[in-house]
Amino acid sequence: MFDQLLMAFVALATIENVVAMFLGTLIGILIGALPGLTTTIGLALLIPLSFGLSPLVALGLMAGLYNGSMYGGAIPAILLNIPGTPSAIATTFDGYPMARKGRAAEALRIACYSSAIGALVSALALLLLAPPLSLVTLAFGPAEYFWVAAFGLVSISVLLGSDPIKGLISATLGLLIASVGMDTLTGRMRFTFGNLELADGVNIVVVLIGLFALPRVLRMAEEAIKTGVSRDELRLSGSRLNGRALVSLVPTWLRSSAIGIAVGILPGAGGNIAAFLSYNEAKRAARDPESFGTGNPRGVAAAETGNSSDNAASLIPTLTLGVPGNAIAALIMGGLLVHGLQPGPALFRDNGVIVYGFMLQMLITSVILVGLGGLIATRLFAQVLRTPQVLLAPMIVALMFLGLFTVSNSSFQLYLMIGFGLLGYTMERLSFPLPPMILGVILGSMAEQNLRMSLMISRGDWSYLLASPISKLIAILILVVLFVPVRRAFRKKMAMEKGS
Amino acid sequence: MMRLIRSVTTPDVIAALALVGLSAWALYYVSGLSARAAMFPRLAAGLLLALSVAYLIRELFRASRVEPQPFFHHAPRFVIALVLVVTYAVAFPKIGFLTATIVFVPLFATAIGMRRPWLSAASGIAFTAAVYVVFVVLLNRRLPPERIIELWRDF
Repeated sequence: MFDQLLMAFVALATIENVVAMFLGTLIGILIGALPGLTTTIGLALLIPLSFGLSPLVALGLMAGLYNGSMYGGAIPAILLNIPGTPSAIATTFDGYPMARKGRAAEALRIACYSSAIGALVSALALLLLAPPLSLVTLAFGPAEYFWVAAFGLVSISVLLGSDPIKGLISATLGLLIASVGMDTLTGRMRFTFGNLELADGVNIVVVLIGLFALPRVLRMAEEAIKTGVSRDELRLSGSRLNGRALVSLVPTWLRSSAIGIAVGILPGAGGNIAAFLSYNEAKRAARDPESFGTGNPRGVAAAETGNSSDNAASLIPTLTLGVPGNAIAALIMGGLLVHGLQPGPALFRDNGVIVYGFMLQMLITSVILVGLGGLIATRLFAQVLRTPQVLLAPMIVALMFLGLFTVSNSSFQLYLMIGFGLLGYTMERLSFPLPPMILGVILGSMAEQNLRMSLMISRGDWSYLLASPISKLIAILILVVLFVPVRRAFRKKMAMEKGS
Repeated sequence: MMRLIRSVTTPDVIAALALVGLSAWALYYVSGLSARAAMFPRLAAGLLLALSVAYLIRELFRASRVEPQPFFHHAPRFVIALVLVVTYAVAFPKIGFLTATIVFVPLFATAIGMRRPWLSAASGIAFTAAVYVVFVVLLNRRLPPERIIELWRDF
């Protein structure tokens, strides 16, 4: 491991990689700072644009964007009470009251340092936990991998949204989309309707951009917000943050980092949940809980450390098992696949330098964040908020088309992307969660191949799927996850009965 | 009768019916494939059918109790945006990225309500130039050829 880590460090020490990490972090902060643009949209736009770059340069951009956007979301959350990303909702609780008291610059610096520390601790957890976990997965055969894929799909579908039926429908639609193209075992075409462009299946980049970026553009067009934020609203006064104030935040940083890492590893949970839990714990542990919500710096620190410490930790199941725990991890997995890197134990064996390089990039970009997220840069990024959304929407469309065209060089793929965009828009309007569908597309082939391989090994005996203890354990976990909504509904009913 | 139909034709009920239709069609389609090639899509389509039927039944029961919400925030602007996006998708590979984008950005912004034409036009030009520098000059990407430049050369 240490040899590969050292080799990865050497591989990263090139101008291209350093520029990619700085640029990715900068783009991430900008995307996070723009309300309406999220990390998922940023990654969906970046993946096709990074196609053709060397894998480490592309992953450096992704690592920077991921860490940068988590901090960027705090800028409008503190200055305007508008969370730039869903993960920054908890930052508004104390960040905005601090800004109202003339302490905006101080709140932004606390948010920046807290984001950097959360991302740093999370990257260390990824570096320490992922390699040993990947060795455990060497004991997995096709049946176990089938169950792992099923577990990933069921847990995201049931735990992510509030409606498990819609989540499961979304995942199943993803599985059907994954079936499009030539069947690798029999050579038969499925759902291609004679179109050769579908023979290789539906391109994951088409699905990612269509589902995540186009619905946002259409919504921006419908809302038609013609003006940006005024110059006066973005005025920052000097920061009063000193060393003693920073030391007082250390317990909050440690507690929130631990919470963020635990939440990140769990499937279905995301940065917003980590931020809320961290905020609540900071408030519960405080001697002055009543000061939370009125401009307490520890509230900002807890929320920002929590949402950033979820970042790299959420990649632990992605890199080791090939099962992303949330939408961002699914997109990063899509990015790895685009560059020919298949997550799982083989990734550490065959592409050790790249995967360790990516983990180091998650770590380095968290340090870069401190330099870029300083007050001068923050003043600059805050100006992005002055861009009217009516102008931003067509620019996103142009980037979407440009990215996809440079990957596919095909008009058909552009039309297909618009089709997925309309599907994504409809699903969003009907409150269907989109990440299960992406996961269905990504995990569909893994599930199918391992299911069919298991049946071939066992000569068609389905009980083979539950032959090993690991398979049984994962199947039981799936049943437990499926039981969650039943328990949720029961508790809700009990609470309602109690209330009445 | 009409009132009853109207009360149950909520977007969710329509979506559930569409999903039932889609999954039934997928099951019919895979019946024409060999057993091995059809196995996984049949499982997925069967599961989708079961879930869609459950969704449909639930929404039919809910339909009369829930106040219907409009599907679009602003239907005219949605249509305008969609038409412009589709037009851009058709035009972009044919007339080239630079020409299409310089026209598309201000046109889209103006069509959905931007009232400062000079700012829209300047933003379109600045954005296109920045993208050109990054992708063509720095990253050496190939973009669709510019028809206007080809025509000028021919002329």
